[in-house]
Amino acid sequence: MLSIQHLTKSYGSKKAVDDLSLTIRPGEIYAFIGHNGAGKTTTLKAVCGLLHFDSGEILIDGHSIEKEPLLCKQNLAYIPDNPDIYTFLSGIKYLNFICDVYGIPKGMREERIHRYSDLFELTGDLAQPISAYSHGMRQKLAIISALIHEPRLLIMDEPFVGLDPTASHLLKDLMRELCMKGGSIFFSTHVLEVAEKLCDKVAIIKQGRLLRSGSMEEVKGDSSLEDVFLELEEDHA
Amino acid sequence: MLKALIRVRFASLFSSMFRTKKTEAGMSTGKKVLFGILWIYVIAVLLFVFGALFFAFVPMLATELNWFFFALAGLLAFFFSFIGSIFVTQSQLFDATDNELLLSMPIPTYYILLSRMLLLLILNYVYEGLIFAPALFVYVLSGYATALGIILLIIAYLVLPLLTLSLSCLCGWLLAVISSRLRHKNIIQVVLMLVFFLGYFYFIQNSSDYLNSLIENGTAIAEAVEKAFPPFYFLGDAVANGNLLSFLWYFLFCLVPIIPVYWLLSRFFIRITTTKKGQKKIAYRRGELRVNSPMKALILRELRFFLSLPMYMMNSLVGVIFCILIPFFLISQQETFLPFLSLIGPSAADAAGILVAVMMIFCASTNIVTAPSISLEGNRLWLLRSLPVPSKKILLAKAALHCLVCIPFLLISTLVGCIALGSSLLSTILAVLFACAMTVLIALLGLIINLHMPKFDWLNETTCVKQSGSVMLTMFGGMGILVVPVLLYVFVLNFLPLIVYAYLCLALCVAGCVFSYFYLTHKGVVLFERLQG
Repeated sequence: MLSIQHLTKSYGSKKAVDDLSLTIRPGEIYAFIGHNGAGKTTTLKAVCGLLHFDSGEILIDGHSIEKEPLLCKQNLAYIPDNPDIYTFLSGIKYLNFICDVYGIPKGMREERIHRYSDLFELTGDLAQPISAYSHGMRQKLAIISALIHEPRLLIMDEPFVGLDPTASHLLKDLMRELCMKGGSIFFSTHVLEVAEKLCDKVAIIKQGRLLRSGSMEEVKGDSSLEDVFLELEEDHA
Repeated sequence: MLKALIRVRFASLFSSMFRTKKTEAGMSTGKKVLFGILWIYVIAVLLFVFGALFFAFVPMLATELNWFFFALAGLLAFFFSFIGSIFVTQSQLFDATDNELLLSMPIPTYYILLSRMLLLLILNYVYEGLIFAPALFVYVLSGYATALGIILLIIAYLVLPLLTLSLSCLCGWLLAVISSRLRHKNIIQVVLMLVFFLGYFYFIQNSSDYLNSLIENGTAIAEAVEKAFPPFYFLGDAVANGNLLSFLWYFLFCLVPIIPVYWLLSRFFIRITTTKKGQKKIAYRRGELRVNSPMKALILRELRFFLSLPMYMMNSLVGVIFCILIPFFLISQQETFLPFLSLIGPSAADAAGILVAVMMIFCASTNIVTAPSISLEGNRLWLLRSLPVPSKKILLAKAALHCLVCIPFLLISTLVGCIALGSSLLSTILAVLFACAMTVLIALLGLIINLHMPKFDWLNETTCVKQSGSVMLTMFGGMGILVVPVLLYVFVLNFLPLIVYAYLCLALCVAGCVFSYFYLTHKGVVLFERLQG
């Protein structure tokens, strides 16, 4: 579903991502962990076509994000670390705008909007302007808008930040549901317990370089993910 | 601590003027020079306009009403500065995004307020300097100047901004309180700005009548000023007659109000800035959702964003306001224009349409909807970029909004103007085509310039709309498009029939549109895809 090969991206003389390679198969939930400034957001943005990179290749379902960006974007959804969405629209107008852009038929969009907004308990607030939403409500709306076109690949940057425990639990269920249908998820997180329980695979990155990746069992063995992460951080300090 | 706060405010001001991208250390020397030239041009025009006004009042310096010359300078400076800073005051003092962050720190509230007020004070000094400098210049040249008068006028300039600051802070507070309690505050803000704007232009249009009646009824008006605006009477009396007691009164009028205003604002600052804006919750009712094509959805998104920012609307649709006023002006001034046009002879009907076309080109050049539209995406740029829509469509949706909000008004005004002046069919068609072509050209140019000069590190949309380089460059570029062909005809190409020359210019304008379209959809798309919001 997602293939990243030898991805390199520099900002001036600093290499944010250095020769990174990863493969995510259909049905996998892949966690991406690393310290602040390790290159996680840069990688995720490059995968979504938001950031040009210096070298390497990113394929989504066999299509290059650089050569066929629209085809790739049609199949993926991105949730950034900060839900900066259109505060001048109401929740329902924002979701309808996203549906228009993805070309979702009328009946289907109504059903999906109401399904997800009911699940996230946001239905009553859909007529409110987004400017009146709290951080958590904006995050919920960003999640709904990402799920509404049923993406095959979901890219998320710190998706649990700002969510209440119920919404966090619901998001984990929805992530599993998407993967059961053959979709894939690639997300960054600092909550290692969540990554450990939820994910099939994990990649640990430091200063742009991949330290370790593979199935959760391969990476952590008998230890906890937290112990492995801290150990790797010390070894490569 | 106060020093640090002031330093941060100045760094923010400097950054808003001279930084264009997050990643750049600063603006290139070429851009700085260009910016400098633009600012010098604007300042020179204002100094010239006010200088001419004061020259008209020089004879007054020889009469008993000599004080009125300085009172007028004070009054003009006060109102010019007040109108210029009132909306900035609201956004800088009460709507600043870093208010909550600073208030959470162990910083006394009065320090935060003081650092913000100092910035506004500097803004007031700039505004008032544009009036006082030509007044002082004219006073010195008039031959009536005294050393004491000059010194008092300079001190008067130094203390007057304090009075303006007091009033604008109070009004900014009132605006913040009112707008936080209103549901349709955008509409109300637009109406308020429109009233200000129309009032201003009504005054400008009738300024010659006012000037005449001022000269004819000088004594009566001077008495009215003396009663209604005592500080300015004291200012005039002090400078003109060297009356130090009057100057002391003026000094106190300027200095005293700032003390209670500062005390009041610092006492209520936290409450004003952190009050949860109480808005009624809008109940959501499930209904049918309207399905749009991606392009229509993008244009609607642009329109909703545009309508959500009154400051953006007012700043970018100045030409639309002008073009609504022009038909009324032409109809009311038919008696002036028709005899003048008939002097031209058989081609008068052609000239009428060309005159309307020139007016409409001017209007179209002052509509700058697209010029800040890329920058205004700010932190939300990721959303547009992540959508499965070609970048070309995103850019064209922005240009389409510009055309949609401008062309209908320009078309109606052009037709009414042409009918009012009895324009020929050929020149009416020319005026209509010119109004449309110029609007399209400015829409495309604004976008192209903004793509080259994006500005994403703004704290407040007002900064982006009012202070960005792309806005200024588009506006002055648009005016250049009007001025250059006119000058070229007057001084070089006047052997050509006017209508032929006008159609040649139209052809060039259309060619400019075609070139800009291709530039935007090729190079512009590349630039857009490399942007980082």
